[in-house]
Amino acid sequence: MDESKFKIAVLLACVAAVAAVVAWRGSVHSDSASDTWQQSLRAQVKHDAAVVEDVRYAVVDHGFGALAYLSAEMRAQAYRARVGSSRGAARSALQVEAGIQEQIAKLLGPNSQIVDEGYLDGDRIDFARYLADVRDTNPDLVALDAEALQTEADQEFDTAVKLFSLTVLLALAFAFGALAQGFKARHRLFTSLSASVLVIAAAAAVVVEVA
Amino acid sequence: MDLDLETVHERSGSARMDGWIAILVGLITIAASLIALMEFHANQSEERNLVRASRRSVDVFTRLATRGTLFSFSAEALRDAITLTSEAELRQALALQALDIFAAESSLASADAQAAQNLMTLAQSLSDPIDDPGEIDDQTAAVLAADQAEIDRLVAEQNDFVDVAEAYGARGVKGMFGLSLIALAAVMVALAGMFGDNKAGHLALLSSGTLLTVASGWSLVAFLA
Repeated sequence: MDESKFKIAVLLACVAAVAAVVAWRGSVHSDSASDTWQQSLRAQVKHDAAVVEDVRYAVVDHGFGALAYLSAEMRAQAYRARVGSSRGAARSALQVEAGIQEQIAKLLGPNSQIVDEGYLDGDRIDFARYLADVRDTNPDLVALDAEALQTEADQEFDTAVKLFSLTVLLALAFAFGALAQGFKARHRLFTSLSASVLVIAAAAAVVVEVA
Repeated sequence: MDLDLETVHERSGSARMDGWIAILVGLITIAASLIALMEFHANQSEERNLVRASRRSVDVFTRLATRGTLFSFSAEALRDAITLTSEAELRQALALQALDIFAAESSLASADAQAAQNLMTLAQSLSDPIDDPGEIDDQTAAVLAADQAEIDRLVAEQNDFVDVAEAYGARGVKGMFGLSLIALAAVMVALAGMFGDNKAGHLALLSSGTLLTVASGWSLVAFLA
């Protein structure tokens, strides 16, 4: 009888040890999931702040300048187009106005990257190409992928849930061990059941960790 | 062989007590692991949904900010076009009162009207400046392509994530209470083992069983809620 008690004690100690290891691994994955969720939030804030700043830079710092340049250019072209068909004071007025607008365009052009670095397509602004190039000046920020981090964290969480679910199986092994002690007439049956469940749970834990 | 009936009765009573203790210990272990799993899942799910809700909030404000800036771009071009159109019309009208410069002003007005029309075309092209994202990265393109319906959808999603997080949070708190009751049940079953097969032991056993039942019922209700 003492020997059977000893066997049960050893079995329960094994169950406790495996449960501790499984719970530890579950905690590690859970902690990793929490960290990665927070990283995904930080990545999203960084990425989106960069998008807002890049759009502001493209529109406010250089887009409005390009608009003013194009406005002056269009006016200069319209005045210049009518110079040939005009005479006298009208011709002079058109020449003067065309000159004024050309000078304004010359002054404004270099202040806008859109004009200065060739993002105009005739009388249109190739804004998508300009914004893409502005975004590319910070490739690290463009590469931030919050959704990928969220998916990675979700996978860690799933692994943790699977491992913690196995502790229920280990609790069952523990329960069979306790029953083996409480019902001595059937201790062989309960001990076998406990050992079997322990082996299954341990094997499942290894599979979850490796997968 | 002498048979001491009192000893036999005592031993059979003690064996029954051992059996009950074993059953309770087993059930308490299983219930504790189940409730702990539920509590862990609830707490982690609360965090996951709160992070998702926060990300959706960032999504919404990013889209609002970029939409506002892009809108101001086309609005600026439109304002220039309207101003120039008004200037052309006023120049034409007011020149009638100064006939000596009428021809000059009329030519300027005609040119201004033409330039205003070109500006209007430019303003229209800027009303959707990213109609073709081209080389813009997918994430940024998605932000820039957002319309009001997309923003409304994100706001609804954000609210849903917060609601789900709250539900998980409540479940986690209830799970913690269930675990506390299970701990008390474990203490009572240990006391029952120490007291032995007597009134005190039976009472401790009964308390343990009651606590286990209440903890399991409470946790089940929390899980199903």
